[in-house]
Amino acid sequence: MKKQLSIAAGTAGILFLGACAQTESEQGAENDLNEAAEQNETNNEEAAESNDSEEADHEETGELTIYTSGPAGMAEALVEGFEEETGVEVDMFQGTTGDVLGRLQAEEDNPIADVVVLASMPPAMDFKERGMTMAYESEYADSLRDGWYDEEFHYYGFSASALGLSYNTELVDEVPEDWSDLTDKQYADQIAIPDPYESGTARDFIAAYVNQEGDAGWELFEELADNGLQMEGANNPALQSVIGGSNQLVMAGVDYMVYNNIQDGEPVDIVFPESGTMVTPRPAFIMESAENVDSAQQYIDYILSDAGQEIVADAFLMPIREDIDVHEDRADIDEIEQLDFEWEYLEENGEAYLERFQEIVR
Amino acid sequence: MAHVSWTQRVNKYLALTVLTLLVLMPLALVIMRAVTPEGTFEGFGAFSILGEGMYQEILLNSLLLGFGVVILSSFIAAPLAFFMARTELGRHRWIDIVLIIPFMTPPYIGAMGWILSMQSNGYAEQLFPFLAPVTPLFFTYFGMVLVMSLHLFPFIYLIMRNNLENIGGRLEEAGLIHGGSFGYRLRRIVLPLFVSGYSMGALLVFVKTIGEFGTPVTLGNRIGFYVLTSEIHRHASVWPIDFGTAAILSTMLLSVSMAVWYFQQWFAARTHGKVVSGKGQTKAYTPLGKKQIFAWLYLAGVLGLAIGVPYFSVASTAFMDVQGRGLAFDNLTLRHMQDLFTGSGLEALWNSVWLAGIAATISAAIGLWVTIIIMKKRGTVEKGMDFLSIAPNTVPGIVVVVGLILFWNAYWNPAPVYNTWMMLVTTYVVLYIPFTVQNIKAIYGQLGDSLFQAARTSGASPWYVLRTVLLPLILPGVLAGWIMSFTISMRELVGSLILRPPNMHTSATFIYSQFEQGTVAQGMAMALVTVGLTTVVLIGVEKMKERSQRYRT
Repeated sequence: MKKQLSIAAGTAGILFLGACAQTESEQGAENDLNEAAEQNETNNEEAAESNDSEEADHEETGELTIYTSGPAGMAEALVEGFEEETGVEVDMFQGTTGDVLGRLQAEEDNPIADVVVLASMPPAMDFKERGMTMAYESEYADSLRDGWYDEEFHYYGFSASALGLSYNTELVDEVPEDWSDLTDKQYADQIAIPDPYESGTARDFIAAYVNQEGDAGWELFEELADNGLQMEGANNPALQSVIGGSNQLVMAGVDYMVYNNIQDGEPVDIVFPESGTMVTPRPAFIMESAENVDSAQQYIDYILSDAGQEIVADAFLMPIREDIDVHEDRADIDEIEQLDFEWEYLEENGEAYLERFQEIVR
Repeated sequence: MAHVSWTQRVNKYLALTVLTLLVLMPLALVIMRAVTPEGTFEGFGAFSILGEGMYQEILLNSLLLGFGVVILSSFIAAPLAFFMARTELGRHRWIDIVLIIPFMTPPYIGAMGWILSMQSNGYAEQLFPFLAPVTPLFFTYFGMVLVMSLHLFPFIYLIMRNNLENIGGRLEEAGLIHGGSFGYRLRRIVLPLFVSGYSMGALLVFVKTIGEFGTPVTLGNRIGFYVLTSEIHRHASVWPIDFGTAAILSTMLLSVSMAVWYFQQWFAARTHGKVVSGKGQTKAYTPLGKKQIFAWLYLAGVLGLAIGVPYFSVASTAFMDVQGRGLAFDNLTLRHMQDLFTGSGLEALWNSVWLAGIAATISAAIGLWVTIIIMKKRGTVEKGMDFLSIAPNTVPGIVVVVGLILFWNAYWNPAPVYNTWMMLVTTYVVLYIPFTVQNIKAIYGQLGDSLFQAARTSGASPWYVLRTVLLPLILPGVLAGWIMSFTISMRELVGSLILRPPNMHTSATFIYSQFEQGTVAQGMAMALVTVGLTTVVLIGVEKMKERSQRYRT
């Protein structure tokens, strides 16, 4: 560490020492700040030029860098399987979608990731629009579910979760069948929804529901707010509040967590409402800036292969391949009624609707 | 000192350079990012959002929270500091360690623990059904102040106690001899000497509160009490990510902290009490006798709230087989502990230990170096360094983290630090330099000139003075700083989450990912083990500190 500091001091630091010496010891911290700013500006300009020339030749570093959102067990299993099959070494950064996006954004000037896996579609679509993704047509492209992947093969929603009504089996006497049943007084002050600020899927659900129902959608949210709908953090904390018994049920929570908890013997179950819910594919894509393009493409192939898709199914997520069965203990995709919505509509209105929703529920 | 030798000057600018690289550059880059979102300067128009009513309300919330926590944690800490510095309780050094436990607890764990206890059908209601009407009160502003005060009071306590111990008995005895009553002595002798050290503690707690994000995100978001940090965090981690707005909101936090810091400096300069002189110290001692029982009861009460409530929840969750069945003896299991030690948890824990150890040592060393420079002379450069050394503590971790990425991952930065473990060490050092510097300063500020003058008159070289006079005197501060850095590095979340290199987990990121996507019980098990381990390390260091202070008695 000391060594690192002295190296750093030897390069950038010298500039400062020089600057300080020039103005003698009267130099204050404020001046340094200005100079730091100036230096950065010139550096930025230089870099913009050198970046262009570097883009032409991609050199493989021999290791594949993947930034992935969870679920934890699945991301690790996929990487292990991939390493075994191909012999390529993988550096994996695993976090929530927010962590991954934050890191990508901060690294924008000097990207490191080759492959990115998110839990929500709109950011992937935005990345494609901004030209930050690389197209790759996998050999499995023919057997994939329509709408789960990009038609130009920029991203593949290789696994998907559905949002449902998860409830505590010991507290709920009458299992609701649709979103509108939640306005019933028996659930008053006992209904949770993942905070759409923290959960991308809940946020997408709100916009998708309004897309299908129009103003009636907003009316339902208002009635639910009157019946004591509460936002309870991200998906898992919201589900935990149901398991712990402080809420009877959570709406628009992801299904695979519920199945995991059922497996652990927790008193929860999930239903998928009749009027339709949302199935959220979890997109994987190759960055345009990827250095290890070959192994990145191999990885995409792997997660779409039989072995990769089996791992997806084992994690209670739905595989993108039509010929791979879902886990026997979960609802099949055909049993889940889906909302009628456009992804473009979600991208356009997501933010405005989020704020409107917050105003209603707070 | 009329002339300054060139070695001193080089030393000074070298320290300034290190602080610049570690602190100023990352923060400056974030501000740059705010005014040049697309790479071109777009003026300061972006700052106009600060005028919006929504953000003013959020700023007000932050300030309210800051003041609330300073007041409550001072009230919690003051009697404890008195008991430990002046009465029989002081002989029980283990109390000191126990009192640091709340601070070792990751804030989001503490908040989660309280929430699990207080929510409807929570542990409190399961055990004491009559509490049901009271628990909703917790989900308000007061609940937040309570949780955060119980988390941060050890800060004020440590500073208050060190201060009281150093004030010593002589001055008070003099007051006594001249017929001053207890109240009079307290008002005219102890308080004035006490207040400058206290102001430093209050400043730290205030700044820490408005910069804290764990509790606001876990509890504040749930009750709709939004503060600057939760808002900043939202812009920095929720799609669409907007570092620009996050940075602008951070400048708001930064200026509040700067204003408070400036006020504290002015205040401390007016009241500075140099209390450690060459004359022998007598320890002020106010035996309580039978009344001790009240002191013990008070201690038990504080510990019950600060440790008992959250840890009861943490432990219950960690050892509970089926969460949905609640508290019951046949629902106990060691399953989660076993999973922890057989799975990836053990490695994560070990990572935290060595990373925190290295980081605490480096930041104590840098802290010592910087403090000696800034305490010797008060020039512009020194003042700048002083502020830089506290700046990382004035903005939320997430902002520092973004700055660190912008700086260490820049293509023009040749140091191969980013994406390795060294990045985490750097992050911890940057985040916790303020703690080492402030701890050392608090003690240094009380040293009078007489000892140094005596040494110099006797012909000691500056190096000799440093080694045999200054260092032994400020060693407790250095060790206290080390302890604090180690403790919080062990549980640091935001930086670890975003800056950890691929394939690496730390204790905190392990807990967090269990909360977000895995089994909460395993996360809680990890929290228990981490705090236990940290306590063991602290006991070791505390023993060392005691040994180094034997000469005082």
